[in-house]
Amino acid sequence: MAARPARERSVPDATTLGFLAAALVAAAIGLWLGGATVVTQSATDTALLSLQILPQLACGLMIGAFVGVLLPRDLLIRWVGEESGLAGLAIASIGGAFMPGGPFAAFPVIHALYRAGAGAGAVVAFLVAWSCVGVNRLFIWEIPFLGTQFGLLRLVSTLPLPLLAGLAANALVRAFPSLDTPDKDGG
Amino acid sequence: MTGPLLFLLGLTLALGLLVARRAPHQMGPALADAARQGRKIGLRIPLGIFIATVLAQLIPREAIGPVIGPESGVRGILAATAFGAIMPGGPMVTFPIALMVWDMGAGKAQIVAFLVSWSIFAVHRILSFELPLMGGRFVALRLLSAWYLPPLAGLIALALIPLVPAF
Repeated sequence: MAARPARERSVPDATTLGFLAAALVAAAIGLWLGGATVVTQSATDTALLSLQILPQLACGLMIGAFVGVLLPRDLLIRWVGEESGLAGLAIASIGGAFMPGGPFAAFPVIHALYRAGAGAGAVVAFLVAWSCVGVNRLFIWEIPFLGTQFGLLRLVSTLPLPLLAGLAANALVRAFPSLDTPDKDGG
Repeated sequence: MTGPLLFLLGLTLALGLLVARRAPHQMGPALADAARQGRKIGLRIPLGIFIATVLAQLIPREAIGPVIGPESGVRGILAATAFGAIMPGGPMVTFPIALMVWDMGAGKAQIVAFLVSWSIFAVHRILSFELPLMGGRFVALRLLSAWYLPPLAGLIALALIPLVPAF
């Protein structure tokens, strides 16, 4: 019984093996539809991008771990825990809308907060606000590429979305509690 | 690229110093936790990026614009949602595409639906970061909570355009 964990560590877990299988399928499809250049080009791009995001990913993981230590758990749960209701969703939505940085830094922090006790609705609201409302994206991409008028139209049209998604997530978790698994770690 | 990285490095250092001062005995466990998380996703993330990159090279992008013009209404919003959902790639790929689609005569409300759909369904982000870190159940929960939002945002934009002259 006690010998199992040591063995499991050396073998990639099921999720990682799933990713490996999917990558092999993707390579086969790429070879079939686009030829060898698609696969070699993708492999080169992947290696470059992985190296590029490595420092940010490492920062994100450490920030997540430090925040887990520094942020009092009862405060986190009071603000954005399962019982925090509409106010918790609003706090998470505002936080997500102004969260800077790409997914490589954002996801480790969000994952740490989820494990520390943030409610599923608040985490969903945060992610939808970060990806859809994304105030900093307005200045970096939308206004330069598509103009101020369009940027404002997009911003106003997306404002209600995080709250709606958070409310839906809370209702879903109430109906299907097994959807809410912060400590399963995806593995 | 360096600006955000410097910001993140500064934040990491500041938080690390705070932990070292306030709870030094927790420094070791916190770093071990970060390393454990890193080991868990270290292989999954490059594999996910590879899958998304292959997909990005196989999907044709030129056929989109004419289908989602300003006169295409709700049908165009639904089409734009579908296009946004299958559009892999980060913002440096998607915004040039949005601009191209825009130049080909797409409507504003339809572009809103396209961008929101890309934000919600972002294949590359789900494969590269969300699935490896948050797990399949959380991805299912988020998608179940948010799948209807892209057409909704498009409809809101469609309603706002005649109401607010500035849009």
